Amino acid sequence: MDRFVRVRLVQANAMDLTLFQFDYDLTFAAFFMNSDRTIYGRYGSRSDRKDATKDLSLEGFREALEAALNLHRKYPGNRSALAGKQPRATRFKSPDDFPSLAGKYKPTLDYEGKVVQSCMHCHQIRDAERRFFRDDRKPIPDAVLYSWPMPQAVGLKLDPKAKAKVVGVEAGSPAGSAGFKAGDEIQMLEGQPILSTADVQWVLQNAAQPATVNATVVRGKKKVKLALDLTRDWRRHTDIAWRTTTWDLRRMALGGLVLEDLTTEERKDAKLAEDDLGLRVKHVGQYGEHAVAKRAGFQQDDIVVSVDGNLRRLSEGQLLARLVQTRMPGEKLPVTVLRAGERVTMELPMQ
Amino acid sequence: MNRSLVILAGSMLLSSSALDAAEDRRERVLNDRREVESSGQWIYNDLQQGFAEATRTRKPMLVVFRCIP
Repeated sequence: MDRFVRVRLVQANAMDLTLFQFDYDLTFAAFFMNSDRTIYGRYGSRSDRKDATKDLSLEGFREALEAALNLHRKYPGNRSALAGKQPRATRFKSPDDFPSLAGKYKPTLDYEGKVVQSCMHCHQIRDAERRFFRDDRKPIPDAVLYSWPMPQAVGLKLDPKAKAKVVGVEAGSPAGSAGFKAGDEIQMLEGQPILSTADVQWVLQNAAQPATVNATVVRGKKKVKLALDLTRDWRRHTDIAWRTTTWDLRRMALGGLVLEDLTTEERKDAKLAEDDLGLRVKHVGQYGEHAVAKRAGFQQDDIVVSVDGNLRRLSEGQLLARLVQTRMPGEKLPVTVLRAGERVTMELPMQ
Repeated sequence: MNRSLVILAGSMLLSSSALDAAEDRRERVLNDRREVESSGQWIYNDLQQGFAEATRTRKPMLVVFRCIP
C-alpha cells in the first residue's frame, strides 16, 4: 500500500463524473490510477443487499493492487492497452448538473454544522440518472436500469479471492456458449487488462445490446481466445433487487411495495403454477410517495397474481423494469392480489 | 396508564431515539475524519492534494470512495 498515494473520498458532492464512473450503489469503490487521470483499473463489487462484502476480499484486493503496480511500471508504454478503461463521455459532468440534484448540495461538507445532512451519497447519482428519464416521461433505458451487471448476468461466477478467476459457468449462458471453463483466469476483455470483478463489470457496463465481447483467458499454461456473444436483452438477466437505488424504482412503479417471488411450496399452497405471476408483498411503504400502494389498499402478505393484465411469472426486478419502461407517471394499473383466499383487484398509480 | 400519555411518551422516545441515532452518525463521521487524518496513512477527502502528491512522487494513486454507512 505504501507504493500508492492513498486518497479517501467520503462524499459524492461535486464528484467529477467525467473521471469517476463506477457502480454508485456501492459503499466501497476503488480506483487505481496515474496522476494524469489515466485509470489502470477498478475494484469494488456487490450483488447482495445484506452482505456487502460477499464479492470482496483482501486477497482479491491485494492481487488487484499488484496488477495495478505492474501496469504503472509499464506506463506510458502501455497507454493504448488502457484506452478502453478510460471514462466514457457523459451527459452530466457533476451530480449538481442533474435536474433532481441541482442546488441541493454544496461542493464541500459542513463539518462545523450539519455534516451528515450536507453529504450527498453516491447512490443519489444513480437515482438522479433514472429520475432524469422518468421525470421527462421517457422509458428508463436498459443500460441505466441494469447498470454495472455482475459477471453472473452472462453466466460467469468469479472467485472474489482472485483477480478474475472463473469458478463456475452457468449451462446455456453466453459464457457457457463461448466456451468459458471453471479455472479460467480472465486476462483481457475487449483488449483491456482485467484486474478485478469490477473491471469485468466495466466492460459489461459499456457493452452494447447485442454485442460480442472478446476475451483472452489463461487456461493452465495456455492463452485461449473466446468470444462472448450477448443478445439484445442480455442485460435483463441482471438482478437489481438488492440495490439501494431500487427503492426509488419501487416508489415509481410499485407505490412503495417490496415484492418477493413465492417459493415452490408457497405456489402450491396458493394454487399457482410455476410460470404464473406470484409475488408476495413483503413490505408496504408507510410515508409520502412510498405509501401510494398503502393508500390504494395493498396489504402486507397480499400475493400479486396479475399486473396490468400480465399473468406470467416475473421477478420483482423484471416487473419493475417492465413498468418503468412501458408505463408512465399518472397512469393507473389494475393489480389483482390473493388475500385470504380471495382475489382482490385494486388500482396502482404510477409515479 | 392514560393512552394519550403512552402515545406521547412513545413518540418522545422515538424522537429521542432518532435524535440519538442522528447524533451517533454525526459523531461517527467526525471521528472517522479525526482517526484517518491522525493515522497519516491517507489523504482525507482532498483529491487535488492526491494528484499533487502522486505527481511529486511518481507513485500510482489508490482512490477509495468509502462513506460512513
